[in-house]
Amino acid sequence: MTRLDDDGRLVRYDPEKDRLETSPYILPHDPTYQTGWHSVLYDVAPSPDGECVYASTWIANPRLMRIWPNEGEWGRVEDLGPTTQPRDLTLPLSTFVDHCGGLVFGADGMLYFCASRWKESETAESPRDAHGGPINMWGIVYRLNPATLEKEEVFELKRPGQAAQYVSRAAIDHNGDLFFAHVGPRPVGIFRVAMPADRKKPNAHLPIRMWG
Amino acid sequence: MKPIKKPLDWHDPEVRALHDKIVHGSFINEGTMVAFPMCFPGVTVPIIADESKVTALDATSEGVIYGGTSGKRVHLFVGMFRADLGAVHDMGFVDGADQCVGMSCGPAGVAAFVNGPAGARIVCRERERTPFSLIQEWGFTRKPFRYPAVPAGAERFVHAATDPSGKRAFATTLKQLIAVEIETGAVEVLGELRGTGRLAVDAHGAILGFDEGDTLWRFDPAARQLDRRAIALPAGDWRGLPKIWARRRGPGVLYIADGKGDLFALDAEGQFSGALGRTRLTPVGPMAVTFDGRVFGFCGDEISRMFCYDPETGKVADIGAAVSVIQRRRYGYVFGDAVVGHDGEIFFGEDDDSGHLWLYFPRIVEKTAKAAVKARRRRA
Repeated sequence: MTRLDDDGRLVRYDPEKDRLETSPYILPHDPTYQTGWHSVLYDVAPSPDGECVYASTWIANPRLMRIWPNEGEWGRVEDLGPTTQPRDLTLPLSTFVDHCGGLVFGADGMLYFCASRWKESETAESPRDAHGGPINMWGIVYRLNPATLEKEEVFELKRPGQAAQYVSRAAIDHNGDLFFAHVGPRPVGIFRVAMPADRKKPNAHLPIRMWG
Repeated sequence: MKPIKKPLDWHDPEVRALHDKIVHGSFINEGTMVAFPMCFPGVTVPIIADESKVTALDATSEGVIYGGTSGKRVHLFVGMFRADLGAVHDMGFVDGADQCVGMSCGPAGVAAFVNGPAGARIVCRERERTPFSLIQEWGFTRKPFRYPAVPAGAERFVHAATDPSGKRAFATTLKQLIAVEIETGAVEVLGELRGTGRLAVDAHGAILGFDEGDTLWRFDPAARQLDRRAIALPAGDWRGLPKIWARRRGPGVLYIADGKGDLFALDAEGQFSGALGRTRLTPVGPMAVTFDGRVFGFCGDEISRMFCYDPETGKVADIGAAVSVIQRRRYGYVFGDAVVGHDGEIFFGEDDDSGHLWLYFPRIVEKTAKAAVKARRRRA
């Protein structure tokens, strides 16, 4: 069983040894100002072949990574880089604004995930929603090719009058349509994304995700 | 004939004791210091190294610390350390300013007093909302600064102090004493005088400053009266030195040190004590009085050392040079200001490149020992 401590290290329990063990490395983070603190895994999606997992961190400037758990004593971690835009590092930015989640594999074998985008000049005077949150934020869904690691922006999650930048989890149904669960002003909800025919297939939901 | 040097006998208990005293007496040997970086650790980058000399501090009644830096540019910042907060937020920089000499906190706003190529300026801003929690999600924005008009002829600000109500800041320039309404930024000239040294607020809420002829002027805000040469400084060395009072929360005895490091107390009746004790080094820098009446401050330049004056024992103790070993090792050499926090801890602003905000947690004196000292003093 593996999880993360609050300093960005993997922690695992070995039932045979009855001991907790801590990874010698810290998961990817921005070394210019982050320490690994709170670089905890926010969302994880297994690759369809079961050889690796894709994960995003729950801290500002969330990073995407690919972990190959069966390589070496502690697995091999690939840093796939930041998922959100560059920003002014002298200003604390909320993880509610600067966020990445909703990782899911599509029927086309590509990884889909939602990362936030926001207006850089957001200030105290910027327009607010009914709950006081800034509205100049958007949830952008990206598509990552696992073979080439090429990333493209594919669509925006649109919620009239409200921002939809914070997606917690995503799922795929048996036809290959995608679903993104959104956190924000109530009532929160789920976006259903009808995928084009060439990105669908029967029983696209298999294997069913049992963890994460 | 060459002098014969006797080799040290390391088996000699006296030599070993001296060695131990030199090595372990160099750094803080009483209480604990923690150097906090000028950022929200792990979330923001610290204020740029040559813009982060912390030279002005003030505290709200809730224990939130506001301050200003000096260096290539002035930054105004707020430090929040209670509960799970733990962040210094850079509220922004002041263009054309390279020195912050005073920071005053009001109930809803703050006022900073800065100097630089753009002249002497007052910088006002709303207080930062204290976050409910900084456990995982937060939102900070930079609220705009306001620059109230500065009276004509104010070439440089010297220092500032906040009146007990927190509504007004009093500041000296090279030529004037002024008052600033912290919330509105309204400025009033109260009198012509040559500002020198730092200001203090006495037990009655009056503002004290250094006057000509080794005296203090006193301004009574309620009566709106400025008395020149109101109080004579005690016999001491007051020549051209940085004159700094010990900061304290609320009214009480004020402390000041002269150029020889002699400490003096000014009581509520406006009477100075004789010399209470002498610091190990000079000049004496920022000092603060914690809740039990002990005075903690730094003395010496280049590598300053902390001292403690305990009014119960009447002794000045050398505490050592600043070092922080919590989380990250850092040595502190020069400090620009001091202020008492919510629980009696003392914040020292490091007046150095890559300055930090240092928290000092004094040693708690055992009650029984304290009582014994009191009893001994009564017997004496």
